[in-house]
Amino acid sequence: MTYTIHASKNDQTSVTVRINPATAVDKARVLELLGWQVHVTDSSGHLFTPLDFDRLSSFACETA
Amino acid sequence: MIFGWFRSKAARDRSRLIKKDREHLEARARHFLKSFLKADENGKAQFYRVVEDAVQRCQADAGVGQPSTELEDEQVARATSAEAMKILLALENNEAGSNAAFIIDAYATVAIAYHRAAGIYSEAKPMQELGTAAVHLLTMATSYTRQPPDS
Repeated sequence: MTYTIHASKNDQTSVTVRINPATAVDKARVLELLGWQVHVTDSSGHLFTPLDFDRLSSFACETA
Repeated sequence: MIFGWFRSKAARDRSRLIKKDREHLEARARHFLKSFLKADENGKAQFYRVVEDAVQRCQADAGVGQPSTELEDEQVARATSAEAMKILLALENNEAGSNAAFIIDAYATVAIAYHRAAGIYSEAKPMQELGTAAVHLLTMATSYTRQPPDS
């Protein structure tokens, strides 16, 4: 499973891929802190907004 | 050779900041985060509000509060952290009132979160982990304060 972090700010966009959900959430949270609009998608097509990041992090615990 | 000099200068700069953060911020931020984890839902709301207020003040005072394409993320993060440190040191010199320590601890947490975001702690694992927890709290605070009142 891969996790893609989609971020946008001031007409810029950024796409980053991580294989670990916890690492993906960390990256997404840092971008959010820096004012980016962020969401994460997984390779199954699920979409996670910042409000869902705890749920995404819990996947890391379940799959660890 | 010049590249090596710049790299070592950047490493020295990060080491200096980490040392300063350990001295002034680490204990306060750890205390703040541990207290947050122990708080009930009403208590957590106070943590969210105080860190959100601290972020707003730091960014306004540092002049990075408005969206800008001129500043890189790292510059914004460093400026916000530096402002939080400045405010914290000023508050420590005038510490008064039962709530003062709570507010100062919040500024310490903000300063650490933004240094984590700037990549300052990449070679200092305990500070990186503390920073990650601080970033997590700040983003939760943002989500909390932006949600509609009755949701």
